[in-house]
Amino acid sequence: MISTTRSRIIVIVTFVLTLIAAIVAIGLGSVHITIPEILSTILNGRTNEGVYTTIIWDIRLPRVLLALIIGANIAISGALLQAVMGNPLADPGLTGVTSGAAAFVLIIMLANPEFTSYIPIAAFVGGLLAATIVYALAWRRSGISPITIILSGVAVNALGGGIIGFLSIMYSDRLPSAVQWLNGSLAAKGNASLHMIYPYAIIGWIVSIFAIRKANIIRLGDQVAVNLGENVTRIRIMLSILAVFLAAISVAAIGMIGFVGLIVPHMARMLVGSDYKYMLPMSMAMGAIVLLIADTGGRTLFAPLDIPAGIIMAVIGGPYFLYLMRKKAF
Amino acid sequence: MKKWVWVSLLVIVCALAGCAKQEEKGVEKEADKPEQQEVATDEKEDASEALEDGVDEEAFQKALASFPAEVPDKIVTTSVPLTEMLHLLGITPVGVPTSTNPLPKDFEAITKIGSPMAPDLEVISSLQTGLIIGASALQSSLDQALTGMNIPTAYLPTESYDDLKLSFKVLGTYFGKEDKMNEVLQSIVAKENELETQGKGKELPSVMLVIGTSDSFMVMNEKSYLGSLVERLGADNIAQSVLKAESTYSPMNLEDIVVADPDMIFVLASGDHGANEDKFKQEIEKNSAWTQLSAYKNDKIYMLDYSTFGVTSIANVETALTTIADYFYK
Repeated sequence: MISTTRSRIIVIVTFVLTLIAAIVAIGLGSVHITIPEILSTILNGRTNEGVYTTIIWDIRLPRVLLALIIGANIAISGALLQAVMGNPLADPGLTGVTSGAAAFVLIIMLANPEFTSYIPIAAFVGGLLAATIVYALAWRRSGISPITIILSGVAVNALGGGIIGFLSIMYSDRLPSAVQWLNGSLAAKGNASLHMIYPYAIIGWIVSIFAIRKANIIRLGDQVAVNLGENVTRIRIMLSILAVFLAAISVAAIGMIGFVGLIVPHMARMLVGSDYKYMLPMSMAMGAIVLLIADTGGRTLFAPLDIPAGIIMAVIGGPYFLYLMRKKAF
Repeated sequence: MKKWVWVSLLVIVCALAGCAKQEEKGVEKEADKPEQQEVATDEKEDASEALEDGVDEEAFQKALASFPAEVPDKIVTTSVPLTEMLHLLGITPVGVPTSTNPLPKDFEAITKIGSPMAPDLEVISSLQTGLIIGASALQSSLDQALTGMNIPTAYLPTESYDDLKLSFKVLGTYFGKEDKMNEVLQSIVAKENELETQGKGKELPSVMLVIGTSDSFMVMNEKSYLGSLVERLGADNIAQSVLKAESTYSPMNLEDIVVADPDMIFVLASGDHGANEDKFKQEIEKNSAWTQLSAYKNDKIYMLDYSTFGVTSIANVETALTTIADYFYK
């Protein structure tokens, strides 16, 4: 049993580390800018027009903030899905939510680009549809079977992947504009994307705080929840909608990012235990820091090439996931 | 899922290939200049030795030698640009590719053999063709598909401006249509010379070639068709000179683009996007990093039509060159 004081300290330390990582990430980039210059650029605000002002204020700062917000979103989404499904393997990627959202976004992006403004709604509808299918397939009178969830997720993922593949072939000439997005890239996402996502994200986070108690109840098993007089099905549906919402706005903004929703809640659980009072904020801070590292690595390691964060996550996350499997962590 | 793994791997391989040749970062325009001038003088010397049409003699002979000694009656082509060339030369194939890109009207009644990537082997067999002419870029996949079918194949490059001229010359020579061939080539060369004279003494802009949208795009180097046209006109493409892009399409870091600050930006609107300059500019206006670019401030961001610049075409090459030159010399 992990003590609550210790958990509290770990969560606070992680938030502080996230802040430090954000500052470091603003200092790193494919164009070298010295620390004094960065400081003066930030302190002067947007007053002077110059290359450095543009790079810091219009490129790096929005990108760092986006990585933090989206990393937090996906990690919270994964943590909530794991509670709902009572399964440490559940995450927006494996349950098909991400590919459902992505398929719907691509239907607009490639086939009907004139409706670009509806992308966030399409992502939400696609993600919800995927979650509903998985839920319907995995639902048994005795509860939800973890294995069936994963299998249904595989099926929904295959369906989403099929739609994505079909669209990619049908509209191959438009693919270059979607390749970045398909791989989960924050490249060239400026203040516009940031302004689009942050109101939704903040709403999602506030609702998540209220969801902590419910997630804890559901985590203890259906019988306990029923004894407490809670409506289990309703809690499940509400938490799922919240998880899909957080994942979908992230997909709409930057595309498909895997593993964050799977690995981060898992690591958070190892560090602060299973109580969502600590586990959820911990997932939030860790998700932010992990995606920030992935994106900053992607934009600096191979500069001036900009490698999508989704690819970096897949390359690092895949092996780590296998390592966890070996350790029988699941 | 599998597909993503492949796409991701591909991007990583490209990235690694890109970074293997990476040199010191920063703006090397000045350092590059003397080198470029040397290259230019070399080319001039070559040009005096080469044929008037500017086609590389050695490559031409090599490509011609890859065709069967006896000219067959029935030919099939799997490539749209090559189909167009045959039409210009007055040769009618028995099979043409199925494509969303326009084929010559006179060829509408000809048997369609399926997509250039994966032609229908049954249809090809039924046509009893003596030769299949395909694009070099798809040689490996086509060769694999035709294994054991015992049909002679020949491949011609169709990627760049020079490829088009070379392939056209090979086809014209092989099928004994020199008169028509020379007429077309002379017309193109005359256009080149006319544009060169037009640009004499004028400062050429540095350009960036973009495919996609303002927040999800790739930068094109000289290996792309549009890039090869820009190169022919002698303008500086920042993809090579500053960003050192190794692959045809590269995801590039916006920071470096801001530093490189090209004078002019060409945007290849992918597909019949319905995207026009206004729409692209609206998108850019939301992205404060783009609005800092000189090309934006001086109103030098141009949308190029995909049907002219996205698909290599000997019939449209004069229009394409003229369009770009007009932007340069405006």
